[in-house]
Amino acid sequence: MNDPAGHVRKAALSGYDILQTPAETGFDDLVALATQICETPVGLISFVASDRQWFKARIGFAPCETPLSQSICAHALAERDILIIPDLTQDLRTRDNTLVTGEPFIRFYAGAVLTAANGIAIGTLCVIDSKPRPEGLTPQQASGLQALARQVMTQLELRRVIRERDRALTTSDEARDALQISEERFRLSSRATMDREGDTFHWDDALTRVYGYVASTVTPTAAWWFEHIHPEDRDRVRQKVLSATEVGPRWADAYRFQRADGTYADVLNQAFLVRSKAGRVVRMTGVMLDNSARAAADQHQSLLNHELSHRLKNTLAIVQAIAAQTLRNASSLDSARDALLRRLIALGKAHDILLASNTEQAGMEAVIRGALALHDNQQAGRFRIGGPPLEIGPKAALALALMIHELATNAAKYGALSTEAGHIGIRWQIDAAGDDPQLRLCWTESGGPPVSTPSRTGFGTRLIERGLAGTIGGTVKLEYQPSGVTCDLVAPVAGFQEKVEILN
Amino acid sequence: MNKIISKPTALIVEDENITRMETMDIFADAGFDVIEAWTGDMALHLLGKLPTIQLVFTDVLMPGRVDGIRLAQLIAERWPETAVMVCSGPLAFRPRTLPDKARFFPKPFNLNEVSATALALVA
Repeated sequence: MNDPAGHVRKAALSGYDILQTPAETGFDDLVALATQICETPVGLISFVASDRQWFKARIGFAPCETPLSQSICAHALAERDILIIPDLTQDLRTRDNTLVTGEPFIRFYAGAVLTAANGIAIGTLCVIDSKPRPEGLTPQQASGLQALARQVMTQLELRRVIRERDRALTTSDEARDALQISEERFRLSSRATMDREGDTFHWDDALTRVYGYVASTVTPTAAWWFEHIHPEDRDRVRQKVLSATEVGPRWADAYRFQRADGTYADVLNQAFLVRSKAGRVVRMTGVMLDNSARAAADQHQSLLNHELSHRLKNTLAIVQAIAAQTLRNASSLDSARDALLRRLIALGKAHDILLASNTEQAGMEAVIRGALALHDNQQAGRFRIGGPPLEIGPKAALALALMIHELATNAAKYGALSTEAGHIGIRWQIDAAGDDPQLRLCWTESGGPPVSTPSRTGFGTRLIERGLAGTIGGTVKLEYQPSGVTCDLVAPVAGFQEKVEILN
Repeated sequence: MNKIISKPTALIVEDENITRMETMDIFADAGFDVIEAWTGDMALHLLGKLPTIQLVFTDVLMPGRVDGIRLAQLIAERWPETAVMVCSGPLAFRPRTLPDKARFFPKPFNLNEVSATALALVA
């Protein structure tokens, strides 16, 4: 059935969330009233979905849905308000309908259109008889049926409003829970106060709240407090308290305090000493702040700093080695300076790409394009780059960038990039057949002058042949075909994706 | 001239590829036959196979189970005749026990000092 309005109707229907819901008394009552008013054995509330009609309420009709091809209501949707067919066997639209030609042999149909608030017809409240009714419906019956149809819509709207209110209530419950959780977090991060007179300790209820101790199980003594300080910190804290008792007005320390569950909290403790006129300590009052969250953040920060310095050190080592190698293999200082600069630019581009992502990974294609940027004269079709998307790790990205840069440098001097017509294909694919998937990358130059194997192997060639393969494993085949240079790399995908690990 | 008939063999252990290339060249220029490994595990494997290795020059931080310090300790136990040179960036170095005989060089290392030390160790 051609049904251009179908998707609009579908949207309107889904707004009421009515399809496939169980029977509801309100709708059943309306159908019962409709059959009484119209004096028919059958009554239905029918919603016309995209491929079927579904009955929310039904009297005298067994199926809960039918295909759209059997739907008479679908024809009613084209009417403004009501469709009455006195004899279904005589109407072009319905005479071939299988509900007419076969069981249950229906003959009379009257359907009042159910119109959503936005004017979209979504179904009917209809009555059906097994006998034709040449007189159709009386005006009273017709207006009664339409009034009931409006009631159906009122019911639907009501359902919708109630559902939305429930949803709003759920949301506000969630918001309230979230607020409670955040208040709880604040309280957890707050402090326990301690008050010591002689050997008697008074704790406030934070000892329960923050550290989990049931007050009745806590011995209110200094000894109990010391016992719950981590053995490695205990003597130091004891010493601090002692020396403060002798001379100071206060002491402060950071130590590990055991929670009721046996784990240790990182606490910051500050305490003041109150002295008698004679100078004797009569009281020590302090706060013990649970600093665990902060301590964890500090530890993370320190790990990041350590990692950063390691990266920096590594990068400098690479730059130092590239400089040394470039100079060692150079024919003149000028050429060395130029080659070094270009290598460092290629390396820098790869770094930029790695840094741009938070995951410290880089897209294979982005790395290749970055390395080629120096060699790209914007001539269309110069580079034909393609392969499946692959995120690669920092080591592979740097080595790949240098390898591609060196290949392009050679191509610009002697190969495909030294002529207008030359071009280079850079394509990769993943062979996932075995346990250890392999990536195959092919660099293929064509359209350049004939090439021959160079007489000496420079640092550039070593970077091509060993730069990536020496970093992540794999093999590289560099060939100087008369038609152009080809370079085939086969290396484990796992090596490409390896992340930098820091050993401590 | 019958003292050194063939060149001494040095094993360079360094996970960073270009740094390894450069270090290998330094040792080759100093007169060594040079072989390479990029993990501690790989170095141990080569040491087991090639008894001619007289000197190992290793980085500290490397992927795998055996870092440079552990490698130096294992060499001292299993191949006490083999000389060990350990180098690392100062920030990455943890003051763990290096064998007495092992020499430590902070990165970046002085090329001449490394060459001279290496030659002295195998003399």
